[in-house]
Amino acid sequence: MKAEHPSPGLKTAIEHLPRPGGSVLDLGRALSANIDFFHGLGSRVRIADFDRTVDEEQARDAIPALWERKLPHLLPFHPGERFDLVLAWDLPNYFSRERWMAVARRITERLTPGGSFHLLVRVGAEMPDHPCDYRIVEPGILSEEILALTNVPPQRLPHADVEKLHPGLVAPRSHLGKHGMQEYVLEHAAAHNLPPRPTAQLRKRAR
Amino acid sequence: MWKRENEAAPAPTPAAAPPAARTEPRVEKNERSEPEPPAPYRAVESSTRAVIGASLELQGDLSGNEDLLIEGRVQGRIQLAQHAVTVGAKGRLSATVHARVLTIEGEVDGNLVAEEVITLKKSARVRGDLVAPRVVIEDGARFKGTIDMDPAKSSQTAQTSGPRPVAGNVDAGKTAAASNTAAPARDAGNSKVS
Repeated sequence: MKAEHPSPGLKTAIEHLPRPGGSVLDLGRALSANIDFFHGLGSRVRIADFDRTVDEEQARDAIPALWERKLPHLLPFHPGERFDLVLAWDLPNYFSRERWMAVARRITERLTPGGSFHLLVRVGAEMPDHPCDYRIVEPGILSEEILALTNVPPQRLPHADVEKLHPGLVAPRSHLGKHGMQEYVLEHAAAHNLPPRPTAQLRKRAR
Repeated sequence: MWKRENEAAPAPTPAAAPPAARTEPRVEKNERSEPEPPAPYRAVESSTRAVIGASLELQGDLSGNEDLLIEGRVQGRIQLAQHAVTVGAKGRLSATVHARVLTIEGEVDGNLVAEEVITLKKSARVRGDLVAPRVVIEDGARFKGTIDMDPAKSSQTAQTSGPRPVAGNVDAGKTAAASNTAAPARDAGNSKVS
């Protein structure tokens, strides 16, 4: 099942991408549409295929200490490799908080000072048992393809906890789509001269 | 009866053949000799293609002057910069490959460089870095690694890249140590000018 949805956060993140010469990390699957899009902007793309790698390595339920140890193998980088944009679409719900926090720490270390971490998080009472595929139709529009046949109760990632799970980052922008996906554009707190804090307080301050 | 057929047979052939030989063969010849518009890589594609069969296992460096189809297991380095290399559905490759055109249907663990295009078919499973002016990934193909489509980099990378571990297969610390030689070229990719 496919449907197109607006993604204003992605549009903003893409606008901030250096071009040419940007570097993009996609934690999802290798999809031609996305690879071609970023190469059209002159960016280099790394595909992590993280969810399936975790399944293949039978690491999803690894105890936190083992997870931390396995992470460099599950999510490998070249020495000195940095990213201007990291895409984590429909992934956080499929990991426990501790495990996702470890992933976020590893990514934050690799995010360039002006870089963006674009997160799509499912909200609602249930979710497909596997992450969906997302293809960029144009900078502000994503096509969602649901691959799973069954739904499961979600691992909830409340709005207020998003920044807590991404130490060192803040979420100055977020958007709730009609398709039940909340999107966040996380950036280094230092870039905003702000210490990391809950999203709610950030919003209050912005007003 | 045999004799009669033999006698009858030669008569019509020479009678029919001469007029045809004067007109039609020329036309046929012209039609056949019309050059087909060649695809870019066909110009250098050789008429023969070497095959590493499904039961073969090869270790070491491989270079030459013809196209290659791999259905067996290869470990090492393949240098066929002017030719097409295909890893068939049964092919298992743990190697660095430099070719003009690369088509993957099987499993590859290693870095791939192509002068023109790399195609990952839906049955492909690839871990490594791809460098080519054009990369095509069919739906269903499994890929993990970096894709660099800067055309200027293909030949440069091919010259500098040797057999190196794919980051996903080793511990991060080991990766850092083992890939020090390739790192500068790779990092340079982050600051492309063209």
